[in-house]
Amino acid sequence: MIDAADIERRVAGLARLRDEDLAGLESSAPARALLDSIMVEPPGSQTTAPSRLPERGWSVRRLALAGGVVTVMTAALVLGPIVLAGGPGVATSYANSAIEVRREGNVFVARIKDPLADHAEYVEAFGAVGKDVDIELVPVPPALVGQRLSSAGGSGAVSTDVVPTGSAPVDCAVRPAACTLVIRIPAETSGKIHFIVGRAARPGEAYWHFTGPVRPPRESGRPGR
Amino acid sequence: MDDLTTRFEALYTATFTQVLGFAARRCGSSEDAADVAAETFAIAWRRIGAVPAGDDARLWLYGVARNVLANHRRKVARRQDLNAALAAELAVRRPPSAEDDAGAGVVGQVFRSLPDADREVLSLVAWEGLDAGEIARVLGCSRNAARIRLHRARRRLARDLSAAGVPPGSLAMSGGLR
Repeated sequence: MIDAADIERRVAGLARLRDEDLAGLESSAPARALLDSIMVEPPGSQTTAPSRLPERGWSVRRLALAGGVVTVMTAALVLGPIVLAGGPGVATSYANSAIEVRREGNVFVARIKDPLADHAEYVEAFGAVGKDVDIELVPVPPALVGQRLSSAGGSGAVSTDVVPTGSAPVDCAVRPAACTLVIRIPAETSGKIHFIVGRAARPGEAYWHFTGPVRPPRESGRPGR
Repeated sequence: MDDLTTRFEALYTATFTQVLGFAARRCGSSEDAADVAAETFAIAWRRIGAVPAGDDARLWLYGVARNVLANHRRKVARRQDLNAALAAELAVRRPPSAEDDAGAGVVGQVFRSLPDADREVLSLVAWEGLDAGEIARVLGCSRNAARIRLHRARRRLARDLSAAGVPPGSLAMSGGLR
């Protein structure tokens, strides 16, 4: 018979990350930055039990943590994906403040969180999941946002797409700033891949010029979604 | 004000890795885990007057993190559920390897197939090292209710493991655990 102690050992074995693996993180720069960002607000004196949770400050704090703790944790997590939410077969994911890359089935799905970030951050994220992918985001007119303007290397059905960042319906061709660029790359792709993809231009920013050999934008609308 | 600041800083330093670990063991990505930990501490600061003293603070934080996690999951649930369901389908169709037969893969599959409430209490014991009384404080239920939930969850997992052909004690003999 499997007894309680045996059960506990087996379940414990499913947790690939333990508190000890995170030792020392509490005094790391990102953890202290998070603490500071939390204490910017005046302390509360509510004594009621937590029920409905406010949304305010969520994304700001994510950024505070994203740069450092996430990197450290990702290094730990890559050793063994977490079983509870990830499920079997989830290989790797990586996120920094600029991009999130996640394996979903047979493709890596990259969501650009900061289209103005240094493209080294995108390279870093793809590198972490074992892909040699360089993405350059260049300012383009709204109708070209999310379009691949140049691509080299890679095989299979690469796609780029823009989807509303929030839950509200948005026409991304009209309001690209309210949308997130999503890039899908087949997991089995190997070798070096280089893309140039259109992003929304900042106010007053000059559009990118086609200076090299480029593939014309697709005519049949944006793939995927 | 200064007292509150000092108290919160001490609480944060003492429990940061525990709260982050709690989140990381239950999130699909490290970024989600960081989000959950950050929001948990933000709530603790906003409700610092409600945070109990001593080790009870850690249990209180687990309770908050649990709510944040549930909230967070609801937001991203639709897409991720589909992915998880697809992954589960794949796992079912994939013939078990010799490694799976050795124990861990099967244990993980059986564990994941348990009801959420069972996984919750079993993981609070095995991952956070809590006893029934402490689980009761995290879940906001009576000690007796927690004990009954735990007992039933253990019984279901033991039954399902046996049904999956996992022999008793095989993992204990293989060593390598704390």
